[in-house]
Amino acid sequence: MKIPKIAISLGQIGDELIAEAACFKKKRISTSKPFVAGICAFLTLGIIATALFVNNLNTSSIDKRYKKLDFYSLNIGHVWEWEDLAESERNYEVEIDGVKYEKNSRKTIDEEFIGEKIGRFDIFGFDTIMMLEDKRITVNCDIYKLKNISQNEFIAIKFGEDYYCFKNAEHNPPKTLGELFDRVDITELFELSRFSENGSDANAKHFILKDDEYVWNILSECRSAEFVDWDPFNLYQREYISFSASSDALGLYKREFSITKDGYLHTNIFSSAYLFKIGKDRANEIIAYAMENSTETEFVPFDESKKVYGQVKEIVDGYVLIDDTILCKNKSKGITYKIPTDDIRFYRYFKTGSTEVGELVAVSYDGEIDTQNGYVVKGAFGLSEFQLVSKKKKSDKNSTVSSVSHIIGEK
Amino acid sequence: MEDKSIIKLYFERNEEAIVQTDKKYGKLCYSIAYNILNNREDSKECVNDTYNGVWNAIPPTTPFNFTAFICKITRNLSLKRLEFLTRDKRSANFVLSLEELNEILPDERYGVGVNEEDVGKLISEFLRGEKEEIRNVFIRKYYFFDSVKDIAKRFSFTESKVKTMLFNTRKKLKEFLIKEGVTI
Repeated sequence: MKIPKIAISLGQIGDELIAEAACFKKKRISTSKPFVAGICAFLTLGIIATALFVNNLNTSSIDKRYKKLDFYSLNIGHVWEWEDLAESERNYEVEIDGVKYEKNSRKTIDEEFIGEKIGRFDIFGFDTIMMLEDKRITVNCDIYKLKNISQNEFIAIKFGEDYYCFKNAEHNPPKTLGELFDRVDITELFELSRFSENGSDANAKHFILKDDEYVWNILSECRSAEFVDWDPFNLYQREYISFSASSDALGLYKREFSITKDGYLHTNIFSSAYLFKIGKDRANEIIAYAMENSTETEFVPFDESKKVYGQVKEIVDGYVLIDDTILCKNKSKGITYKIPTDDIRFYRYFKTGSTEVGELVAVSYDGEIDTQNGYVVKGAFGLSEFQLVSKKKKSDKNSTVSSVSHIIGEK
Repeated sequence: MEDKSIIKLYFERNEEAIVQTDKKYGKLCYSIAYNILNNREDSKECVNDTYNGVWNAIPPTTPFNFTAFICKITRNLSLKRLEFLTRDKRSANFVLSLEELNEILPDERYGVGVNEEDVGKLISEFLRGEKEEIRNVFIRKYYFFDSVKDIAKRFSFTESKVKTMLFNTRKKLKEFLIKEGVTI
C-alpha cells in the first residue's frame, strides 16, 4: 500500500505538538464575555489576514474583460460513490495465476499496445465506501497481455471500448537496475525528452533533449547499480536533472525520472519511488550529454487543462449555466456559458447537491467553446470552487473577502 | 517513572529501560500501531520493534521529547509495515484518513523543491496557529489515526462536531499550503 507523502509529512510535525496530542484531555475553561469577545476579534483578524495574504492568481490575467480581483482556487475533495465515479476513476483488483493486479493509472491505452487475449475473468471493483463496508462489485471483463511486456508485471483490461493498464500489486522493488530492465524494458516504453534542471516549476530551466538513445545506452551499462532503500531520499536538496517520463503503453503521464550529480537515478515511474546508485561518473556523463544536446524550451505546467470561470446561474437537466458577469469590469460584457453535463466527473457536483446556484466555480474542459451557438463549452470534466479576495480602494482601512462559499473538489 | 530516568537507563544499557518504557508508553504505542495496522499480532510486533529501535538509538541519541520520539518511531515502523500488508488487513478508518489527507495535498501536487520535511514544518506552523482543541483533534485523527468515535469520546464532542472540525481544518490547511506555494 502506498502511503501518501502528506501522511509522511505529518509524521514530521513538531515534537511538542505530538506530545501535546498524545496526552491531551479536554479541559474545562470559563468563557467570560471579554474572553469570548477577544477570541472572536482574534479569529476575525485572522480570517482577514489570511485573505490578504492569498494572492495566487489574478482574474485580469485570465481574461481582459475581468476586474482586477485576486482569487484562489480550492480543491477539497469528495469521496465519491461508485455510481458517481467515471470508469477511469474506479478501483479494481483482479487475480490471475496467483498474481494480484491493480489499476496502474486513469489513462486509457491505445489498442496498438494490446497483445494476445489472456481470457475472460471476474474482476472486483470498489469505492472508498465499499472498502469501509467490505463490499465489492464483480465485473466480468476481457483481459489481455500488453505487447512486449511481461504478463507478470502489467496486463490490460477492457471496459466497454477502452483499455486500462493494470500492474502487479505486490511491492517488490528490483534489487538492481538490471533487474528492473529485465522486468520491464523501460528503454522502449519511455521516451526521455523534456527535462528540467534543479527543479521543474516555472522558475527552473527547461530543455528538450534531441535524442535519448545515448542516455539509455549509459543506463544499460549500469545494470549492476543497486536499489537503495533510502527513505526519505531528498532529491530536491541535490543538483540534478529531471526528465518528464510518460508511457502511452502503460498509461503513465509525466512521471519523474531524475539523475543526480552525486550519482543516483531516482524515479517514480512505477508509483513507488525507486532509487539506484549508478555512480557519479555515469550520472555526470548523462547530465553533461543532456545539457550539451538539448535546446531550452518553455515551462509547461502539470495541469494544462483549459478553464472557464463564473457563477452558477442555473442547473437544469442536461446542462448548467455559468455566468461570468460578476468578474467583469463592464457588466454588459459578461458571458453565460452553457455546459453540458454529459461527463459524470462534472455532473456529480450538481447531482449530489455539492454545488448550488450562486457559487463561484472554475470548470475544466478539454473541448472547444462553440461561440456561434451560445457559448457551449464542450468536454467539461472537472470543477473546483474558487474564492475571490477583492481589494477595496486605498482609503479603505480594511480589505474584505467578497465571496466565500463552500468548497468543492476537482478530480 | 520520569522520562529522564528512563533515558538514563537506556544509557546505562539496563534492560529495565524497556520494561519502564513499556509500562509508560506501551498502550500508546500499541494504539498507534493498531490504528494503522488493524491487526493485534502485527501491532505487538511493531511495538517490540519500536522498543528495539529505541534501544539501538539511545545512546547516542538523547531525545529531547521522549513521548514524541517514541510515537514517531512507532508510527514510522507501522507505516513501513503496512506497505506489505494486503488490502484485507487494512483498517477502514485508516484508509479513509489517508484519502482525506491525500485530498489536502496529493503526491503529484508536491511542488518541485518541496519535500515531506518541508511540508511537515509548514503543517507544524499551521497547527501552532490553530486553537488547542482544533489542533489536537486534527493530530489525533491524522497522526495517531484515532477514529472519529474515539476522538469524540476523548474530547467530549459529538461525532458530527469532530467531523466538521476535521473538514474545516483540512480545508484551511489546504488553503495554507496553497498560500505557502508548496503545491503545483
